[in-house]
Amino acid sequence: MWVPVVLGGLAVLCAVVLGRSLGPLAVVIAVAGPLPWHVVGVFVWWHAPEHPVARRLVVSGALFAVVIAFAFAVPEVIGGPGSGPAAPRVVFGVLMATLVVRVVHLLASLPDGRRRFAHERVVLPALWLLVPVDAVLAATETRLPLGPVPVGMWVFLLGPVLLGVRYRLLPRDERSELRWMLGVVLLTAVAVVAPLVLASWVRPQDVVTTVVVVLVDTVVVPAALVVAVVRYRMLGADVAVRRSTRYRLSWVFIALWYVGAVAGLSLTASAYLPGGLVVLVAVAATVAAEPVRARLTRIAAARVYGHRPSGQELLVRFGATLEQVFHPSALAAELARTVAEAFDLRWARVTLETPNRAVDMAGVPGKAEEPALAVTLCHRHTVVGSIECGPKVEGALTPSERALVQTLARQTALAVHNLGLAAQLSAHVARVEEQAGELEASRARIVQAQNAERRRVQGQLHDGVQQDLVAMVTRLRLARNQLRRDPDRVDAMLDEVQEDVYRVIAEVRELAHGIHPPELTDQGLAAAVRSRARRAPIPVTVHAGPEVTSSRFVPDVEEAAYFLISEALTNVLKHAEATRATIRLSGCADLLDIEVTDDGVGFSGEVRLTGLRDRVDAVGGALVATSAPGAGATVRVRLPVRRSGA
Amino acid sequence: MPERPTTRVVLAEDHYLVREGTRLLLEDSGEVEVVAAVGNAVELLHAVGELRPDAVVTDIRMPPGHRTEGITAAHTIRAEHPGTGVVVLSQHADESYVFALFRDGTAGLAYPLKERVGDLDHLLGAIREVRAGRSSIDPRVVDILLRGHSRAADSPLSRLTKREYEVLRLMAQGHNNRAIAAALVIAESTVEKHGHSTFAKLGLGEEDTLHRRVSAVLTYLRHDPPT
Repeated sequence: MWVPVVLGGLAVLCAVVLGRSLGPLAVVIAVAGPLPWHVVGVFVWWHAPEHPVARRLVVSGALFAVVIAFAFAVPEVIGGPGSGPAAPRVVFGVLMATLVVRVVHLLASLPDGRRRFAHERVVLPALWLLVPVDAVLAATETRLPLGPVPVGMWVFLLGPVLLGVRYRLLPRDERSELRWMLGVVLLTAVAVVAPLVLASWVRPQDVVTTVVVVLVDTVVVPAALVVAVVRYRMLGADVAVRRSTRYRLSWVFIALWYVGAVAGLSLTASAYLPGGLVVLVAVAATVAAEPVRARLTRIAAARVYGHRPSGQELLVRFGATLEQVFHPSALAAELARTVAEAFDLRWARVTLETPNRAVDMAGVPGKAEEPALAVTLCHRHTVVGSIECGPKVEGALTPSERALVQTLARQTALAVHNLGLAAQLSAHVARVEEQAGELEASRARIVQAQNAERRRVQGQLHDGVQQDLVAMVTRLRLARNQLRRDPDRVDAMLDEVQEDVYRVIAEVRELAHGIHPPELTDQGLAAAVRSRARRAPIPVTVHAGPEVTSSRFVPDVEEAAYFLISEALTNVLKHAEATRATIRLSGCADLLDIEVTDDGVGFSGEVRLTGLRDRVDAVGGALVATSAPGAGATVRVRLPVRRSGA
Repeated sequence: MPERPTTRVVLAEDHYLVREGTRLLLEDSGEVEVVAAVGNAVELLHAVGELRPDAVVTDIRMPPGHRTEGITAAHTIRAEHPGTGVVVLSQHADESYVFALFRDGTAGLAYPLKERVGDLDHLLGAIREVRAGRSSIDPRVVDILLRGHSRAADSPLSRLTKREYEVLRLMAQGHNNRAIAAALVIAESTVEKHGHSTFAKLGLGEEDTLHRRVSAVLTYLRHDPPT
């Protein structure tokens, strides 16, 4: 593409240089004619090098410049019939026809540059017939009966017509991109080209009017293109929003040129035209310049307030944000800000339906202002929030911007879903950690309790039984001494020792019972609990249902149940100041219910019952303790059980 | 000393020293002939089947399970050889073992604590009772039974007079009225009177034979005091 760019530039330069020798009108033609086409073409191509419209614009601009340069180099070709040699005339005719065809192609294929509809695929290639026809006409110096206007001018009108047809055929959401362009082109066609054609019919000799009006056309159309590209992002979002220094310089250049072109046109027109036509030219130029001026103001603002990201940049940036944001409210804030900034919205509101609903608003909505676009965040058919876009500061959201919001919405929905998963996971982890901590503490307490129990047994064996046995040894020794001195008294002494032995046996029996009651193994839970109850210093009644007395549980369960009942009873004896207690045992297929009730002082609030809870937790049971001061206490435990086959 | 007929006894005890010591003590009395001394319940049943002794003295805990093999063996012996009485020596002072032993009746069964091997008269007395088809319970076990049931304030046992309570206690041990009268140093007719009133207060019917009376008392004690 560099060839047409350089060629076009050189041709524009040639036209201006050659035009100086032909008078001020020629310079104006050179400056106001091919130059804007060329500059706009290069600008658009620079920002969207692959876009077919940009390529066509560059080629058309270069061709236009070549045509003008050629005309200025060989002025005879525009001098009318019979002037000059045939060869340049034919070349000029071919160039002119090619230019016309290319411009029609350009206009008719907006905004995507492709031939999309059947009629376009027939009509547009057929236009190339104009080139040989025009060559023949130029060679034979024939004029068709269409008035003084070259046949190309009629063909030009085909551009707006095809564009209008295309607008009708496009899907609704793609039309908005085209609306501005179609409006300007139709306005130009109706207000400029059509009057020109009609006027030239009436006053065939008025070449100056023809030239001036054509120039208006050559200025308005590329200007409209620039507006469409920049303001409506006609060639894709990337073109419009990148703001390099070159971009701004281009704009400044266009603006300067534009003011000059409008002024020059008006001045030139006033020299040759009646007042009405001059006003028309001035109004057209000013109307065309107004959006450009507004746009320039916006650019200055953008330069002050910073850079607006392109769609791709936006997605990349937001993607990076998603990786770093772990909280719904932060996500909502970031998304609202991003959307409002990127699309230049008056406001944007983001709602995330997380457990703690997160709502964030960027910008300030007007009173009762409806969102211009509301997108629901959906993940697998579940609504997880919404993005509401207020109106843009200027203009309306384009289809590609709407699509971009949809894409952001999908990304966000996934992110919200992931945040939910992450929250669930961390809650799980916290619970597991808590349980692990509790388990560790409980294990430590169980070990402590076991050690304390060992110390107690060791103490009783050492300080009780062993001491008694030692005492008996001394008394046996005494009895033996007595045997020599007074045999009659030995019998009584041995009786005493025997009584002591009975006492020690009873003591050992109780000790063994305390460590593990033999009934628990031999007779089952109910018998062991009764035995334990009978040993208590207060009356303890045991009620055991037939389902408990008639079958045995596995040893683990019987032991767990027995020792926790024993501990509950110990608690009652130690703390409750109770006069009596009741133990109830009942069960069903795979549950054992234990209830220990006392009539003691009770307790209020939370009593940890840590030892009991540890025992219950260790076998996967559940414990509920109820009490009130002065009203006794009830401890209920439910254990999962297996019954033994025996 | 009048010549008594010797009682033929099979002894079952897994602890060697206790078994031999008990055998020596029993034989030393001149009243008992230990015809076999075995170490587990299987050997015990075998010996009883072979030797048809007058009485058996057996431990409760024996190999292989070390649980209640002695009680099971006692039931088997009483069922298969009604002429053989069984004295069950127990390490356990708990009522549940008593009730297990007397599950099907008290005739020909005795339940002394194991340390009674040092109290030969008591042990010989128990052997004599079971040989005669009667029964006997260790006084300490009876004390534990009665204590466990009399603590409840509304227990019928608390309505017994001190004397009635004593009579009940001795009855439960398996003593007959004459022995009770001798122990309490009162007239036998007085014992009889106390027996009637005690049974009436506990809501029990009169029982004619001694072991039935023990059964009745045990059955009564077996149930929890009403709440």
